[in-house]
Parts: sequence; C-alpha cells; structure tokens
Amino acid sequence: MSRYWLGRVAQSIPMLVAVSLAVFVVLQLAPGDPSTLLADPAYLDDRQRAELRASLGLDEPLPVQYVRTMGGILDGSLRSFRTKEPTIAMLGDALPVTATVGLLGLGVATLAGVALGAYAARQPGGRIDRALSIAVVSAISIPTFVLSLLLLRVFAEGLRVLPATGIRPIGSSGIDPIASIPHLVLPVLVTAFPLAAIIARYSRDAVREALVAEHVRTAEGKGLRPGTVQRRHVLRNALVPIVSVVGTVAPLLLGGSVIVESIFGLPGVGRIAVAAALQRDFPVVMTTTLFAAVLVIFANLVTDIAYGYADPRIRLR
Amino acid sequence: MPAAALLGVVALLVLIGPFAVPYAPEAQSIAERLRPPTPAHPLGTDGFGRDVLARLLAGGRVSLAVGLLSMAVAVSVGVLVGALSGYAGGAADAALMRLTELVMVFPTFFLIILVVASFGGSLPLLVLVIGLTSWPVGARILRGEVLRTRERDFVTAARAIGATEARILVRHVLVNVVAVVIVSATIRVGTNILIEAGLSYLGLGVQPPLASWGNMVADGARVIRTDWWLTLIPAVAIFVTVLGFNLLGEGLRDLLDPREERARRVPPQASAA
Repeated sequence: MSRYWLGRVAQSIPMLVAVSLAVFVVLQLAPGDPSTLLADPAYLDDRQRAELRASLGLDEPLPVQYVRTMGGILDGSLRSFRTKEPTIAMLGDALPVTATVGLLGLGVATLAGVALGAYAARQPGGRIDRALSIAVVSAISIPTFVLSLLLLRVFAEGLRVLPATGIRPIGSSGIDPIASIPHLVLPVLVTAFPLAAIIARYSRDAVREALVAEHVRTAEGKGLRPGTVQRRHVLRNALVPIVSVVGTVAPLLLGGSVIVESIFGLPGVGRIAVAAALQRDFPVVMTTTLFAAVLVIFANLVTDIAYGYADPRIRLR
Repeated sequence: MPAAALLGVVALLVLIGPFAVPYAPEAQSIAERLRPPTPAHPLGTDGFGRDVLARLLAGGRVSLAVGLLSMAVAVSVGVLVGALSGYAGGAADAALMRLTELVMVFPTFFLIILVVASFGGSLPLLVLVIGLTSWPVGARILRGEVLRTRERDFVTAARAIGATEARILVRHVLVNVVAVVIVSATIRVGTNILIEAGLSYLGLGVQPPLASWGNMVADGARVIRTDWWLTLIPAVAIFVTVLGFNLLGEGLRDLLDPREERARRVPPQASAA
C-alpha cells in the first residue's frame, strides 16, 4: 500500500516540473521584460538599463533563471515587484482564507448535493426529480459573480443582515474563524452553490443505479429496515461515483475563489492572483499559478486515496 | 426544442438588433447618464450615458462570438487529440494522455490570468486561451468512445476489405462518435461564455469601451444600490444564453443517444424543460 502511494506521489513530480516550465515559458514570451515595469526605459541610459536588468537577474542564461526562480519561490528570495514581500509569504498569508472558504464550501456542497440527489433518486421522473433536474441546469447557468452580487444586494445592502465584505483577522494576517462566521456565510454559499448542483446530479444517478441493484432487493427481501438498506447497501455502493465527482469539482474551487474573493473582499489566493495580474506583478502571478497546479495534483491524489476507502477492490490494485 | 428556439431568438436579436438601435454602443452622452427606461432608451442609459440596449446587443455579439469560436478551437484540438489517442493507442496514446493531464492540472482560470497578464486581453487571444484550456474533458470522453467503437465488428469488416486506416478512422469511427462531440460542444459554448463573462467582470477579459456582458455587469455593479437594473439586464442575458446552451446540449443528448437515456434512466421530461 505505502509503496503504491509513494509511486503515485513520485508520478506527480514530472507533472510539476512540466507545469513550472510552462509557466516560465509563458512569462518569457510576454512582450517587454519585467525591468520595464519598474522604470520607464525611456528615462534610463543604456548603463542604467543594464544595471537594472542585472539586479533582477535578467542577464543570465534562461536555464539559470529558471532554476533560480523556482528555488526563489521556495526559499522566499522571489519577491513581489510591487510590495517587495517574498511571494511565498504572501501565499502563506492568503492560503488560510482560501482554504477556509473552499473547504467549507465543498463540505456544504457535498452534504446538500448528496442529500438532494439521494432524495430525488427515490422516485425517478417524479416531481422532485424533475424539479431537481431543472434546478441543476439553472444553477450551473448562473455566473458566480451574478449570484454574488445578487446575494450581496439582498442580504447585505437590502436586508442588512450580513456583512458585505472582509473577514475578522488575527493580528496582521491570518483569519479568526469564529469572529469571521458572519463574513463567511455569503462567500461559502456562493462557492457551494454550483458545486452542490453538479454533485446532486451525479449523486442522483449513482444512488439510482445502486437502488435497482440485485443485492438491494435481497436486503429488502430479507426484511432489513429501510434506513439500514439505504445506509449500508445503497449509499455505500453509490460512494465511488460520488467520491469521483467531488474529486472532479474540487479543483473548480480555486477558479471560483478568484471571483468570490474579489467580490467579497477576502484576502485570499484568488484575489492576490487577480490583483497581481492586473498590475503585471509576474513573480506573484507565477507563484499563485504554480500553487494552483500543486493543489490540483494534491486534490487528485486525495481523491485516489478516498477511492480506496470507498471501494476496497480499488485498494488492491 | 424550446432551448433551440430560445437560442434562435438570442442569435437573431444579437445579429439584427444593432441595426435597429439608433445609438452606437460606445457613444457617450454625459447629459443623459443613468436614465431609467424611456421610449428613446428602452433599457435606459448607463453611467456614461450610453444606451444600454445598444450595448446589450453589441456585447451579446462579443460574448457569443468568444463562446462559439473558443468552442471551435476546443473541439478541433479535442477531436484531434481524442481521436488519435483512442485510435492509435500505444506510445502515441500515452504521450497524448500525459499532455491532456498536464492541461487539466492547470486550473483554467489561473492559466488564463497568467496569459492575459502577460499578453493583454485582446479578443483573439481570449478566444485562443479559453479554447486551448478547455479541450481536455472533451478529448478524454471522445477517446473512450473511439476506443469502444474501434473494436466493433464493422470496423473489422472495413479493415478486412482493405480500407485504409485514415478512411476507417474518418468514415467508420468518427461518424459513430459524432453525437458525443456535438453534445459536449454545445455545453462547452455555455461554459466558455461563463468563463469570458467572469474574466471580463474582473477586468481581465474584453476591455472597455468594447461592450461584453461581463464588463456590463461590472459597470452596473458600481451603482447597484440605486440603478440595479444596469446589473440585472446583462446578468439575465448571460443566464438565459448559457441556460439555452445547457438545455440544448441535454436535449441533443437524449435525441442523439437514446442508449444512454435508457441506461441512466433519465426521464424524457427531465431535460425537455
């Protein structure tokens, strides 16, 4: 077992190298070089320009720049062009916010999605099933930013029952989870909404398939209570496709965080990435993009491990 | 199909509408800013005194064009990769699937942000980058279908009578998986419109003064307390259009692939809404 997982982890290393190379190449292809963002080249003579480029390490061969940049992300020597802060520290400050909203959102979405899907599956083609299927298509057709603005307008500005933006921080950075609860309600709901819809659809199909299986009929036939059948025989078997869909949507959290954090003024990874992109702060863009890829690879790994728990047959392979 | 009719109406409005509106979508008139709907301006004017109806129609052209063209890019790459991978098998399959995983590992939004930050937000770039990041899902589905179809008897029969590999792939395999491509392409248009709208909302997509539904929502959100319809109008336009593509995709799936319908026990009414 441990050998298998070591192998899986080792497999993701070439993937990470490829991703970091791709990010590096995109930034190399970008017109103009970073030094022109710090000072308008028109006001510098050749010597000053060369000095500036040398101070940023832009005069070295590309492979050297690549290795130094990647090392710089890890040891903190790669700094934001704007704030001069190490990019890894900015990421460290932002991560708890994104993780809190994302994980709470995924949790809410999974609970709501599985419950709705399992409920609708009891009577396929029934009123609830049809309502769910319409709700699912509608939910995935609403842009995240529209839903955010709508909820903000109604709950924060109209009814004034929830704060519109921000979080309660501890000290200069970080997040105080308890005091932030009212601030997190809307972002978590917005994050969970489209994911819950997707999870509901797949859970419905999975539960439906499990419900008509032979062993479920046997379990019912031998007189087990409906609750026990539902738990031990239906949901247990529907678990693999449900794990699979939760694993598929988890990476979407990060994309969603970009919009949710911008609208709700949360100092998370997504907002840093957008702000850095608008200011062409390349070290920060690069760090956040790479981090996003690491997180997806990690999510895939966690999904694979979860498969093993959901279905012992997968563990043996 | 109601979804097709809905999209037909949207397409007609966006194509013909701009000729019927007497204002240019970028024409500002500070004296007439933030007017509620009047006969002269049926949907009112925005914060720069621009006619909202004119911008809505012009923005629709941009949003639909980006959605459709980026879908075309995604489908071209996806079909190429999926078909070759599934049909060739072996080392080519392994290499193409690693490439697909690599693109999938990039969270789309972050990759687009990276590219737009590097090269700016021009329309062709937006189409390319949305298209080139959105093909892996379709390619994987197609690969699975091709793998299954490749083993069918009529493919063996074609090979036995001496058809070339290229002919078998195009005339026998691809025509049998075309339904899957059409369905996923239709839903892809809606998804890509959402991506474009999100980017434009953040200021990373279509750049003002050029209108797109996404940047219209962003403009409207600044005055959402008082002139909420400036946000609502483009928001509804996005929702209706994306909903149209999603419903059309589902309708086509039931229409083109009745096997799946039975297997998944999806009631026919469920997607006819």
